[in-house]
Amino acid sequence: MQAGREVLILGAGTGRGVSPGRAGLQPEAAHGSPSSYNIKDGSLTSTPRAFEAKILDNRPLGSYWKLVFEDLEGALAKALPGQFVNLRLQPGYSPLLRRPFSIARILPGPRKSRKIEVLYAVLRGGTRLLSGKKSGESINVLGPLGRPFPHLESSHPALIVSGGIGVAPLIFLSETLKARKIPQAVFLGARTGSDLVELDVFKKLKVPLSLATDDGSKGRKGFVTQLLDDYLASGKAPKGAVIHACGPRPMFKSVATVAAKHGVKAYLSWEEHMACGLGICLTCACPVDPGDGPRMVRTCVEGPAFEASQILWDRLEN
Amino acid sequence: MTMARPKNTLKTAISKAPQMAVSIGKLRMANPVMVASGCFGYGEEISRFYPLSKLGAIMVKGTTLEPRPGNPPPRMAETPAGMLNAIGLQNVGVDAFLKDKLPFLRKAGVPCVVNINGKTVDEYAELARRLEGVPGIGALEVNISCPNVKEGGIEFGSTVEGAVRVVSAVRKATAQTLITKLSPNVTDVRSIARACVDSGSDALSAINTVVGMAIDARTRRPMLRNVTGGLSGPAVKPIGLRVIYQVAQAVKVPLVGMGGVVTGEDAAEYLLAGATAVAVGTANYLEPQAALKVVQGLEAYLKSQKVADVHEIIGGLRVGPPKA
Repeated sequence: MQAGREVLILGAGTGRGVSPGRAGLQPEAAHGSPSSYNIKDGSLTSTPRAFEAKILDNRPLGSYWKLVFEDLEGALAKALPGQFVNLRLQPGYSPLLRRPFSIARILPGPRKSRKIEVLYAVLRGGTRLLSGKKSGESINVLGPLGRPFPHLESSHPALIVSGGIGVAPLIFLSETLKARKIPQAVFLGARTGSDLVELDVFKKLKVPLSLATDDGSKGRKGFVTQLLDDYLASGKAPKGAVIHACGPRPMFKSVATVAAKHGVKAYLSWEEHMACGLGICLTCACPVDPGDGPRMVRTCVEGPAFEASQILWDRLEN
Repeated sequence: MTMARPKNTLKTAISKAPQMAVSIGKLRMANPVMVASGCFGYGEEISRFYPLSKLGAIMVKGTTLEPRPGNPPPRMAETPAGMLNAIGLQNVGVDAFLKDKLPFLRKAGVPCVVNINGKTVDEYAELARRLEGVPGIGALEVNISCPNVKEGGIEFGSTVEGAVRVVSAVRKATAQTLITKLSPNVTDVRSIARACVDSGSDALSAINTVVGMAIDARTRRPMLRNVTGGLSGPAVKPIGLRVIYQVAQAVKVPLVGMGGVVTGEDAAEYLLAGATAVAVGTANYLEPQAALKVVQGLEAYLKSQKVADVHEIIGGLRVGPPKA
């Protein structure tokens, strides 16, 4: 899920990523190992709940904002990286729809008082409204939604690639991979230095970190996908590595191209205009072909992480 | 006026749950609250939040003979108090519906209304034949009003002649209860409503979405890939109420009102306008428990109005100057 268009997007930009917590995964038989990736599997892997959460903090973070709320019911206790929450900003019909955001971090703590972090870019009315929320106010949270990133329990080393606010679900991913001792390298890109946020979190994890900005104000001047391309060309990438990316649509396209060029699998935490987040409205469709013919899959249920080579780019707008 | 009543009787009257069951043709429902086609999938997703048997009936996603992929994204745009969609009838097709989806709904113990869509009159009739006598199906909703497909849909529902052709053909093909879904995007909905009833429709539902558009001025592009889409949500409730009210004056069959139902009072408004039942659509996207809350809210409304049976308020709109 991305940051570009405020209203509808799940993942990248706004930092919403989707995937069901392990709560959802429990009957592993339902869709195999969580490490597997089968876009054709439309089974409902998460057990989301709608609940009122208390806002603990909400403040600017570089060019973006960070919202912290308390999960008093433990509803998100088993959420995994890639999963998202759909927030109802206030009662009434303005705005009408919830706004989906990737879970950026779940801070350690007792199951029923965990702090959940969400990053967002203030783009239009909805996120502007969210930025006006004060500590102590409550917000209605629906989650966890969607599937986790694949290969969380496998030995595939991860190449993490973010663009702008797309870093949100990748923070949670990076922390989780670190805890599970799965090797990773992180590539963060943005338009400018102030768009590169939570660098301290990555630095604390002591993971290989490469930065790029469009204007050269931080890290290398240019696109993050150039960093990725160079890295893969250098032959330094560990065997079996897979790419996990979240960012704007043009970045996704570029990641897909680079991944194909080097024969590496890439999973994109997709973002699309979305209403329910539950799988009933069919608005967040993404055209894919898993090998046996084209189909539309739901970003909120089958995604949000889609394998780049399965996406039918020519059927998308850009 | 309640003062004269013995205290005990009053207490009993209020605490007793109002009678909520209604029927539409052969479709018997525990309460008048259905969920609208295309706004509830096939029930599995929401069954994680409450037992589906709490609902009057489920109108499943618009079904076609063959599976359909639907329109390319973006398919949705939010608008003030509403949303536009252009899904384009993405669905699994009637065979997969019967094999993979219907068993779940039967097990859930809730009547199912299948919304049928054809590109041609023959396709509607064929769908009706395939669904004839299938246990678990309480009625067919004949969708002659989908605004987001190139062939069929609203093309049939925009004229008396088109409506007559579809409804007559489906009537010949099945003994199932038929609920024809009307479009608000017509000059005179009453003439289409009459034509549907005269052609054998047992009931009518309204409204399908209102055709609309949203534009991003900055990019100078339409918000929907399909350019136009169907508007739903609270924004269209006044249109839905008007259509139900007008149609209720024109025909005698039961009506299913929909368009912006979020609360029990919204449902009551539709019943007062003349609907026998309502369907909850877009509200399901706001709250997973939305339809259940409409059931509870309607019951609370009836209690607060001291109505013992929901039929008492159907068509009970008080028009004219208030009595002193």
